[in-house]
Amino acid sequence: MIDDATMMKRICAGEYLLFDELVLRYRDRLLKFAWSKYGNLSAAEDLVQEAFLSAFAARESYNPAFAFSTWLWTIFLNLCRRHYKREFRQPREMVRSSFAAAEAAVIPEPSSPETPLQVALKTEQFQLLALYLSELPEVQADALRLRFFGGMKFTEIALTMDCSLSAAKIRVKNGLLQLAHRFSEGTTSEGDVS
Amino acid sequence: MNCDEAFDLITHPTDHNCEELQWHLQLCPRCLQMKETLAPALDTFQQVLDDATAADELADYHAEFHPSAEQVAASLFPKTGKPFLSAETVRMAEQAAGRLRAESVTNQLAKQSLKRKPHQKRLVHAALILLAGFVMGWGISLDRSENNHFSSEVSSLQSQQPCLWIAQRENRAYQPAKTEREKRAASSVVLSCVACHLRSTAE
Repeated sequence: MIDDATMMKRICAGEYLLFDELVLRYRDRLLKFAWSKYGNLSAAEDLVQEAFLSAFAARESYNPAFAFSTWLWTIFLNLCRRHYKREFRQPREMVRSSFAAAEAAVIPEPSSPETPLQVALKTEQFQLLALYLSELPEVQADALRLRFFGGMKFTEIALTMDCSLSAAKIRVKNGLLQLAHRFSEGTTSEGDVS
Repeated sequence: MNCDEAFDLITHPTDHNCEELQWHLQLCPRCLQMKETLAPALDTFQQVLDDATAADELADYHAEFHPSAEQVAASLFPKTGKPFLSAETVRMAEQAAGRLRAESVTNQLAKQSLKRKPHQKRLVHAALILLAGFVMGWGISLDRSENNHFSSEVSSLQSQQPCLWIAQRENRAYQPAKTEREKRAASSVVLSCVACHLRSTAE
């Protein structure tokens, strides 16, 4: 299996089709991230495509001194933040409403056959998790998404989020604590109802 | 394994049940409590990831029996929106590359300086030891030279002519018979004593 750096070197040398392999490697993780952040599949897929396109367009600026994955995630995170600023002026309400809309929408988009991954991402569990993540401070939620959906190490998270290693760990830890508390509350209230 | 590494594994998307972590949790009540506190969130993440993985595996299984270029293309990038590429986005990617390159250079320099530090410390220690040795040697040599000076003074004093009075007395003890020459010697001794003692009294 060719590593990312070698692949990028060959892509820069003109073997453009190899970029498909990189897309296959990272697309699902990016999609999980964006889908959990926005709850809007088409917006998430647009962002993922835009991230890959910009990485391809700026391929000459890539340097093997840093990991391709870190670079791609940095681009993607910046795109997500820009999108967040433009589209979601009131994040909590909008994210909630977008998930509500996703639940209410029964008409699938005709030109987009759902992949198994997309089906998995529409489970109730995932949507609840995405909803609770949207209630966290953005940096904590992003750190959690990078850790679990991106499968990144803490050092990579720190590089991607441009923060220290300890800050990355604290963000993940505090985010998990708040999420755990939220899930416990949900379980307790369900138990009270039943 | 320390508690920091244990936290890495507790929150690891795939290795959260490894034996090494289980050993640590048996020995460390704090980490065990942390894992139990985070369990509702961690379990949900794991469940979602397992669902997604299972879905991917199912898709791969079907793809082996029904490979279709159109399907692959559709699964990669379904035609949902209008992907576009602006100059701003490309600039953003280039800036990210620049920042990461700079940070990697900084990290490499930091690592190199960390590697150099023990070497530098050793050099400094060696220099200090040499300096201390030199100072000690210098001190000893000074001490010796002072001693030498004192001993040379003593030896020079000793080498001087002994007191005439004592010498005379000793001679007398061995040679009881007085001669004319001895008498003159005695008078010279008295004169020398008087001269000497008068001068010291005046001083």
